[in-house]
Amino acid sequence: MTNRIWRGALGVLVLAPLLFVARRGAGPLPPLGALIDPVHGAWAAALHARMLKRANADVPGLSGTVSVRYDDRGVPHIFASAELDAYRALGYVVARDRLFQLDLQARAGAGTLSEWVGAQALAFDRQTRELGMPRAAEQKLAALDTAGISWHLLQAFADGVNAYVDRLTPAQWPVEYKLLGVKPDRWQPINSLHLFNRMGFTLSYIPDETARLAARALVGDSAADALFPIDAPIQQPIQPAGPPVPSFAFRALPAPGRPDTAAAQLASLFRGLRPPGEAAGADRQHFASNNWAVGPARSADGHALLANDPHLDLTLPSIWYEAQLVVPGKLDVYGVTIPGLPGIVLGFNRDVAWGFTNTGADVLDFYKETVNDPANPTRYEVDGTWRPLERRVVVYRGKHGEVLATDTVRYTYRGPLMHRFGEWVSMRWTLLEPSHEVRALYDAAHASTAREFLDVMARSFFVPAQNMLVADRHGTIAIRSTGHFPLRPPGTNGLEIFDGSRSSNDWRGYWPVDHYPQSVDPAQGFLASANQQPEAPHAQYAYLGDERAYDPWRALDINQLLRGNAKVTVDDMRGYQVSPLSVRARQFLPFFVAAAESPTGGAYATPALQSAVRILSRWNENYTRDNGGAALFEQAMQDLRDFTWDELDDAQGHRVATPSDEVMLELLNQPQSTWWDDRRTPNVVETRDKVVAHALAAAYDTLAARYGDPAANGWTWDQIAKVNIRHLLRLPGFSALGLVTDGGRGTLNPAPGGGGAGPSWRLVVDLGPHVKAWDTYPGGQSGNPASPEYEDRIPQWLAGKLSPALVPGDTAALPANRVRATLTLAPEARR
Amino acid sequence: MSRTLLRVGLLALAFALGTYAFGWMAVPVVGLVWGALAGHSRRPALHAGVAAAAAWAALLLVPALTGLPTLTFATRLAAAIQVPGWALWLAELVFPLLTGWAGALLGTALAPRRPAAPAAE
Repeated sequence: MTNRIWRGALGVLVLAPLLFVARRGAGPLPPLGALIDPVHGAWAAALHARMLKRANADVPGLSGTVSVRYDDRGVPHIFASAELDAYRALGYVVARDRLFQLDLQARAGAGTLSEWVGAQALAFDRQTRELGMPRAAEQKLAALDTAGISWHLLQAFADGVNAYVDRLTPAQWPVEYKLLGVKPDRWQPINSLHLFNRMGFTLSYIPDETARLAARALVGDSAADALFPIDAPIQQPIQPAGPPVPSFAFRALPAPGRPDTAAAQLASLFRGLRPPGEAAGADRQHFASNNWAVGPARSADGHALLANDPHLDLTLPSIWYEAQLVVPGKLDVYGVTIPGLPGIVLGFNRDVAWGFTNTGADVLDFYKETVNDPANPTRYEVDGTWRPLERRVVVYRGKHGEVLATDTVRYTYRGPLMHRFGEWVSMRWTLLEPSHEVRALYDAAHASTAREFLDVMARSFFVPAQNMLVADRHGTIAIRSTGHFPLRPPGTNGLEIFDGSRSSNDWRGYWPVDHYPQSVDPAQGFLASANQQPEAPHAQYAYLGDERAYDPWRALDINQLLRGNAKVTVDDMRGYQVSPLSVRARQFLPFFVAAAESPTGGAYATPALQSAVRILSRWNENYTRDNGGAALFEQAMQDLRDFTWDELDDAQGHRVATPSDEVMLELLNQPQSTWWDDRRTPNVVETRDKVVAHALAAAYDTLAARYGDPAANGWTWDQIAKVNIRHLLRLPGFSALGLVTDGGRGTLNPAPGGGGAGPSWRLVVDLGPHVKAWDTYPGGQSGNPASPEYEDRIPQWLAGKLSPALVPGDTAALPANRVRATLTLAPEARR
Repeated sequence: MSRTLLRVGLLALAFALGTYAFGWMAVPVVGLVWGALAGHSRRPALHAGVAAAAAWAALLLVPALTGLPTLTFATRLAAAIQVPGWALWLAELVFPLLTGWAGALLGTALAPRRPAAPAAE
C-alpha cells in the first residue's frame, strides 16, 4: 500500500508541473506541448512545407470555379470567371502562403499587438491608437457605399482569407502562432484598411517640424531655416518640363544665431512623437525608391520600358506577394500585393505598367490647442467658441486578456489631441481623412492607357502620396506625384506649429490635380523619380514638403545614365537598378583629398592621413563588395558630420538634429564659414580643410582600430556592410542575416543604415505588343520558414538578377512543365 | 527480452497513434492507461517512457526519411527559439519520456489490486 502511494505521489509530482508548462507555458515560454508536439506543434511547419500538387477547397460566395496554377516560382495565377471571385481567390492564396503576416500586420495597424506579445508591444500600440489610425480605418469603412466596388472587394478578399482560416486545423497554423501561443483570427474587411494605414504611416508620418524647431532653439531662426531648408540645395526634379533648373543651387549659410527660447519651448512638445524605438535624428531616407521609364524613341526595341524598385524594410516573409489575376475580357493584372490588401499594388496589365516612389510630401500639421481644463480637457476653443472633444477610452489587453493599460484618446475636428509637456497639441494628417485607395488599385488594374491610369489614381489615391510612374503599350510614359497635398493658409508652411484656437489656420483644401508635379511624354524621352524634390521651387504650386524628406543622389545618377543612353535595353534597366556607383561620393571625394593635401589640413599629415588619401584616390566611387574605399568614405562622412555640426548639440551633448549631406555639400563650398569652427575647442578657430582632414584621419584610425590593417582586406565593403533580412518577429532562426551585396548609401542599389532596408522588389517591364516582365524580391512566396520557397529568391536578389515573369492569358498559355501545383476553388456546396 | 521489445514496440505505436490523433496530451493519457493495465508487470513506467520517446522520435524522423525538410527546419526552429539544436532534440525525447513515465507511474498506483492468491492448506 505504501509503495502504491509513493508511486502515485511521484507520478503526480512529475506530471503536474510538466502538464502546466505544456499547457500554459512558463515565463516567456509559450505552451510547450503545443510547441514541441511532433505532429501538431511547430514541427508541422515541415510536414506542410511542400505544396500539394493538386488541392481543392470550397470558398463561400464564389459564383463559379476558380483555377489557381502555381508556377515554378511559386506565383499563383488566378483564373476566374467573375472579378470578385478572383479577389476571393486572392484572399485565399495569400492566406495560404502568408497567414501569420496578414494577421500580424493587421494587428500592428489596429494597435492590438500587445494582445499577442504582451507589454513589450504596448508603446507601439499606444502610438498607433494615439495617432488615431484605428479610428480612421473605422471611419473609412463606415463611409463606404455597401453597394460600391470597394466594399465588395474588401468583403470578397475577407471571404477568401476566412475560407482558408476556417478549414485549418491547429496543426496547420503557421509556426509563429505556436511560438507565440496564439491562434489565427478571422479576417475582417477593416483589416485591409488597417494595412493601408500602416503603409501610410511608414511613408507619410514625417513630423519634420521637430528638427527645425530643435535647431532654432539652439542656433536661431535664420540659421536653422538654412540648415533645414524647404527647398533642396540640389535640384533634379521629376517634372522635367519648364525652364531649365540649375542642379546645384547653393546658398550662403548664415552664421549660428542666438538661441530661440520660444522654439525651445515648442520643440519640447514634440518629444515622444517619433515611432517607438526610432532614435532622434534617425535617417528616414532609407525608405526611398526608384522608378524610371524610357519612351519608344530611347529604347533599343522601340517599346516603352519601365523599372521600379521600392526601398522598404526588408523582412521575411517579404512585404510583397506576387500574383496574377485573370478574368477573361475583364481583368488581367500581374504584380505584387501587400498581403492583406485586395488588389495589385505595383505591376502591370496587358496595356499599362506602373511603379511608385514615395513623394515625401508634408501632409501632417500640428496645432497648439486651447482647452478648458489642462488636466482633463473636455472642450477646446476655436474662434471664441468652445467645442466638445470626442473622447475614446482605449483599453490595452495582454496575452491572457488582462488589462495592461487604459488611455483616453481625445479628438478635435482636426484629428487626435496629444498631451505634450503641459500643452495640448492636435494633429491633422491626410492619412486620417477619407480616401479610396481600394478603388484606386482596382481601377489601376483596368487602366488601358497611361493617362487613364493617372486619372483614376488622382481620383481615388490620396495617401501616402506617391510619384506614380506609368508607361503604356502605345509608347506613352508619364509621371505624377499623386495624393492629397494640403493647401495651408497663405504665407505659412508645414514646418510651423499653428494656433489651434483660430480656424483661419486650417487647411484650405488640397492642391488641384492640374498643379500636381507631373509630366507626360517629355521631350527628353525618359522620366525618373528617386525621392528627389518633385518640382523645382519656382514651378511649385505651393509648399509641398521640406528637404529632409528628399534625396537627390539617385536621381542625379539615373538621369545621367538615361541621358547618356539613347538605346536602352531591358538589361540596361536591370543593370541600372543594381548600380553600385555613388554620385554622392563623387561630389565629396575631392574635398577630402584636397583638404588632406592643403597646408591647413597638414596639421593632421600623419601616415594615417596619407594612407587614407591613397585609398580614396584609388577608389572608383563604387560600393562593390571587394573594395575598401567605400567603408573609409562612409566613416569619414560620419566623422565630418560629427565634427561640423557641434552647434546643434544641446547642453547634454546630444545632437538635436543633423542637416542633410546636401547641406553639408553646400557648406563645403563655403570654406570660411563660421560653422567650421568647433565650439568645443575655444582657443582654436577651425577652418574647412582642417575639419575635413581631421575627419578623414579620424575615420582611418577608427577603421584601423576596428578592422585592422586595410592591406589585410579587413575594410572591404563585404566585411562591413551586411544585409540583414529579419523575420517579422525578429527571430534569428527565421531570418537571413549577414548577407553580402553591392550598393551603399545614395547608390541606385542602396544598402544604407543597418542593412535592414533596401530594394524590396525589382521590376522591369517591356511594353511591346505582348507585355514582358522580369522581377524578383528578397524572400520567397511562402511564409513558412520550413518551405523551400521561404527565401529561395534571395540569392538571385543578392546577385542583382531578375527572373522572367510568366504572364499567361489563360490556363492553356501556361506551360505544363512550369506548373508546380494546382488549386481548385469551388463554390461552397449547398447543404 | 523479445516479449519486452514487442511490448515496448506496441506501446510506442499506441503513443504514436495517440499523438497523431489527439496531440501531445495523448502521451500522459496513454501512459496512465498502460500503467493501470500493466501495473503488475515488470517496470511498466520505464517501458512507457521509453516507448513514448521512441514514438516521438519516429514521428519526427519518418517524415524526414520521406523527404520532408524536418532536419533542416530543426536547425531554424532551434535558432528561432534560441536554444542549441541538440537541446531541441533532447526536449523532443525527454518530454514524452517523462510524461509517459509519470503517467504510467500514476496509472500503476491507480490500478486495481490483484486478488490475493488463495492460501495453501
